[in-house]
Amino acid sequence: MLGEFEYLLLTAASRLGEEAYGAAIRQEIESATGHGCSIGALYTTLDRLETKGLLKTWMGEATPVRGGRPKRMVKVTAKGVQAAAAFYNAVKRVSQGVAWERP
Amino acid sequence: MNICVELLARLLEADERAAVLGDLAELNYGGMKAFRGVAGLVLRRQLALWKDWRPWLALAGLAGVVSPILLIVTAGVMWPLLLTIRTYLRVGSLYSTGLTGVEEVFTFLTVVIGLLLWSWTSGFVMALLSRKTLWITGTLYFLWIAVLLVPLAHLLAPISVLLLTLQAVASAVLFVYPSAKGLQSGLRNGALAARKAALLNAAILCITAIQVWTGGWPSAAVIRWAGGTWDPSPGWPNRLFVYGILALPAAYLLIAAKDTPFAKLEAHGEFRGQ
Repeated sequence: MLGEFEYLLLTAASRLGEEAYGAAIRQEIESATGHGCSIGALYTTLDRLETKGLLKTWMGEATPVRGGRPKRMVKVTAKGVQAAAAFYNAVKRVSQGVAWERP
Repeated sequence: MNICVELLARLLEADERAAVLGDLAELNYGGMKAFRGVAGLVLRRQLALWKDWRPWLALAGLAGVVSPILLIVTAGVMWPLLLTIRTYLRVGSLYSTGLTGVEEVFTFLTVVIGLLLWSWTSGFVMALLSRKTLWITGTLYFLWIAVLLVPLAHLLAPISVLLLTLQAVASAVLFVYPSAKGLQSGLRNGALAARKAALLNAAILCITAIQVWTGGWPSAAVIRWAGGTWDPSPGWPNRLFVYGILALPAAYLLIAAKDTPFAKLEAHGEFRGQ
């Protein structure tokens, strides 16, 4: 079972598709949750998810706006999609009928 | 980018450092915000390294035990000379250990060779065990010099400047330099080949045995001088215990040498605390 932040990260990476990399995922999570996302949490969670085989990362291109430094690109694997779907379905099931569920 | 952030980021792996600093530049983060972000990641990475047993062995075994023993043995090399100078300056006569000239030279040379070998090996093993945590374990390993020199300064007053300089030079030549060379070699080359590790162990075992044997000579001289009424000797089992500890890092080099069963298990992560 995924953790909450792991799910957020997988979802953000999946939504960004080809454009998923560290800074973009961070902004996506911050705009979705309204909370800050620390670099430490982001990069250690990326490592953990990669170790579990839920996503893969590689060093991408360097751009001038990044001071000539490369991006760490992210792609969610099929196993990652399954894990995120399982988490989402579990949250949906457990939330049915609770006071804060919207019709 | 803030120079402090750049320096702190050096503690990260090269790829991760580039990605993180790139992210910070792209998000236009600077100052405290960038520093806090990088510091948080560095802290998490450093804490993760300590889940493994190797940095703990380097910290407790090498920095905690071997390093102070090496420095005490180094002080023991200089001690007769320091006492001679101190006695001459205070009372005008020479201090004698009671050993013959040949015995003096033999014990001096063998302990010097021993210290060079033990220190180099300790530095080498430190690099193998604690490559990414060296900034903590390495600092503590060498910090013992201050712990030794400060009480010596008090003990040897009022002629402490000359004697402390001699002791500092001895520590630098017999402990700091060979340890640093061993460290450098370990970082550059990794584990030794089994044959080299075996040769090093043979040399260290020989020199350790000689130290256990000759370490009793000064006490024997005192017993002779006192006509058998005073025996200051701690006994060979104590010497064997102390010098045996100094020989242990070499034993680790043999166990962890390339192509040994341990090294193969290690390569597959069997001994990692993950």
